[in-house]
Amino acid sequence: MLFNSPEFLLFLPLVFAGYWLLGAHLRLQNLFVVAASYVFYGWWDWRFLALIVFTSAWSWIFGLLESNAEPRSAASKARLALSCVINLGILGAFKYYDFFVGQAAELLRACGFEPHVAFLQVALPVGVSFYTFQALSYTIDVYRRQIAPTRDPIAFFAFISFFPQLVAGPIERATNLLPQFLRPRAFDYGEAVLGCRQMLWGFFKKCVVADNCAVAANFLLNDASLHNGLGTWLGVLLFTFQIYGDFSGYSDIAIGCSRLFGIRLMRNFACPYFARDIAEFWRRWHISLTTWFRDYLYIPLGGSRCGAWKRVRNTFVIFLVSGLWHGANWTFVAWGAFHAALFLPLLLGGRNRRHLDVVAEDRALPSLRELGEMLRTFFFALLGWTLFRAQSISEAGRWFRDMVDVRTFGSLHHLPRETTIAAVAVAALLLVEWFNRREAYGCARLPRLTSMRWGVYFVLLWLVVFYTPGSQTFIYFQF
Amino acid sequence: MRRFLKRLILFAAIPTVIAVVWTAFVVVMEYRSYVGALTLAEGETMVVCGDSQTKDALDPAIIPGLRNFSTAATTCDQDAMRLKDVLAANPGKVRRVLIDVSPLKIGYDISRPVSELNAARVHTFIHFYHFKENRRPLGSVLSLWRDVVFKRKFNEFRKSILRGRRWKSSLVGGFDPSTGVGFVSRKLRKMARSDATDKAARVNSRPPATSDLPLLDILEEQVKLVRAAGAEPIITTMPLSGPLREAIDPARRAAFTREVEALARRLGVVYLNYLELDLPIECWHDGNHLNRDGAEVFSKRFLRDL
Repeated sequence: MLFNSPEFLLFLPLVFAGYWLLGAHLRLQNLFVVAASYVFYGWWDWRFLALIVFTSAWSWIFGLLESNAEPRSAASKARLALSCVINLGILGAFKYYDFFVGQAAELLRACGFEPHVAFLQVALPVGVSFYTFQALSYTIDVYRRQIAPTRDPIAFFAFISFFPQLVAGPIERATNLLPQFLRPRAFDYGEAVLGCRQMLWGFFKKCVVADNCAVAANFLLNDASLHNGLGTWLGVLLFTFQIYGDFSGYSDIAIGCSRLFGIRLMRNFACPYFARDIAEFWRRWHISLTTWFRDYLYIPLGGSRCGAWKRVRNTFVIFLVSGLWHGANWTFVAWGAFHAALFLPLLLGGRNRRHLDVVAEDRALPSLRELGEMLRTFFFALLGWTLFRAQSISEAGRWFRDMVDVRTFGSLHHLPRETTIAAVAVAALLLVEWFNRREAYGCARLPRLTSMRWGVYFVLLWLVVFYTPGSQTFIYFQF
Repeated sequence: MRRFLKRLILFAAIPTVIAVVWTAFVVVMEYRSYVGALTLAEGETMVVCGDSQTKDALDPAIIPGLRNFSTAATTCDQDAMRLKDVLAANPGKVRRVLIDVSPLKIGYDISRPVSELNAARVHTFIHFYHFKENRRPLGSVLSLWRDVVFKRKFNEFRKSILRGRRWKSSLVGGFDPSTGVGFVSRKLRKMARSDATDKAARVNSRPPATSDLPLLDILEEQVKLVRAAGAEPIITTMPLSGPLREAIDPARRAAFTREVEALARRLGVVYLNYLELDLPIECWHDGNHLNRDGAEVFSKRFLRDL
């Protein structure tokens, strides 16, 4: 089920009502969350529910076995390894098997062999990368004794399958989310209002900004016959805002929706396009994934407290794995490598933690230097998104060629009307986010006067209803 | 919780009341306008209820006595329903009825996406039952409401107020050829690349040997309906531009013609088929819509054949 589908309009009030009616019975309430989450997930394809049930069940059993084990014993290590193999094996089979087998077959053919390959050719289960990582975080945290294993299977299943963040994150840590399912929750008026507001802002970002950008970007980038450098620049620029609006919009809806149920999720985006360097960009973009890789991959590899070569290796490992996490395609690997190459000079020069604060924290406007840094970072991010958006490396190469070859710069005719809407929406988004860059989300600060505040709500609602160019799916569902 | 729910209900109530009042207003005005617009004027004895191809092709100024009720993006059963309404509103007045049948309607007569219909302002509020065939009925009704009842109708209402005109129903069409000649070549080239292949792929996806039973059934029902009203039915197929016609599988085209001709023979009805008529590219606005010049050329040819 999509957040921006009419079915969700019925689903959410029903679940909200059922959830709080069961407020006095914690286990029943958690069971209701599990059931609702499975309906939400199964709406797309109920057959893949078996996967999520298996992942949850195995991770829970692992926790139980671990509770009586000696910390970091050989048996414990073996169990952890088995758990990682199972979870990553599922992910690998559905997401990467066909890709790697295909690539291996190509390589063998190039060497003169004729391999007989069998492809799985199955659809990628929605959100598999997200809930697998969430389950892995529990497994590793239990192994490290950073969290006590839970004996309550219902609370654990609710933690893995909680519907707002099930299919596209934020990738929650067991240390944050699981305890919330283990204790009774009380309805909080202020939280619920803020949740609704954040959802509305998320819908604006998804439906108005991202979807209009998507129509225009697809128009400019999908037609291979255009070969227009200017169109490619504009297309990639629009995609840059499409992916931000789409994913951060989803995260805002998920976080806002969770607040309605008295659950706090972690922040996933913090105005990444106002970052002053790539290191800051990665502290602000898809925070839950970045911190996941930091804690469970980068630091165990030695992090940045090792020799220069190891730091280079570790940086490339996390960026390449992060790229591959997004999909089985060399474009994602190239995207990861591109960001690693941008990040390395900062890391080796000890400048990767220069910008830990918010830009122009005590001022309304940035200085010229800050503005230049932000534009430079944005430009690099935009180049990265070119790789990300392309279907193949050769397509990305063609786009880059068009972008630098001024001879291909022609005038742009017959742009869809969504281009204008997208431009205005992006300008509004940047403006609102700039003035709310210290807050948790875009429109966190609103006028105190009720009528003014409600006016903002109605304007957002009106934009969402009337300026959505047909339902577009969320980009991150495919990851 | 109570305070939150009260606020939420109040918040939802304001747009809901506006939506309900506006929807009721639109439905009433649309229905009144629809009923009023169905009545034939003095001298009008021949009617046609087709889709945009027919709307843009048959010029009543050239074909005497014709009233073109065609509207954009209609399905064949919507055409049949409008025809039924026209005959009921004009008892004994209609002498001839042109029944439009097109190969482009094969395979999508009921299941085509509703968003397409919305965009073209077709039969909407009255014929709701079409949407039950759609895979996402709730989404269809909501997008229908959003695109037609609110966006389009509100804009039309605003313009009609500014220009001091009466409410005009979008459920009844009329002769209205699309844009002029200057735009043709570029748009048609693009159309030949993308739209024509999409449209043709939809038609080509059906095996040539299979009859399109819903389409033929509706055609037969229309013939019976016209005869019951005491008028003469004439089945007709509008021409297509070269790129679009060539993109359709020749076997499928031949099968279509064969099936409709067989039906016409069985029912004893005249069939005027212009599917293979080759009109010059200057006559077209896009792949399957004639422009004003094209409508003039075609209407003269049609009148001669009639």
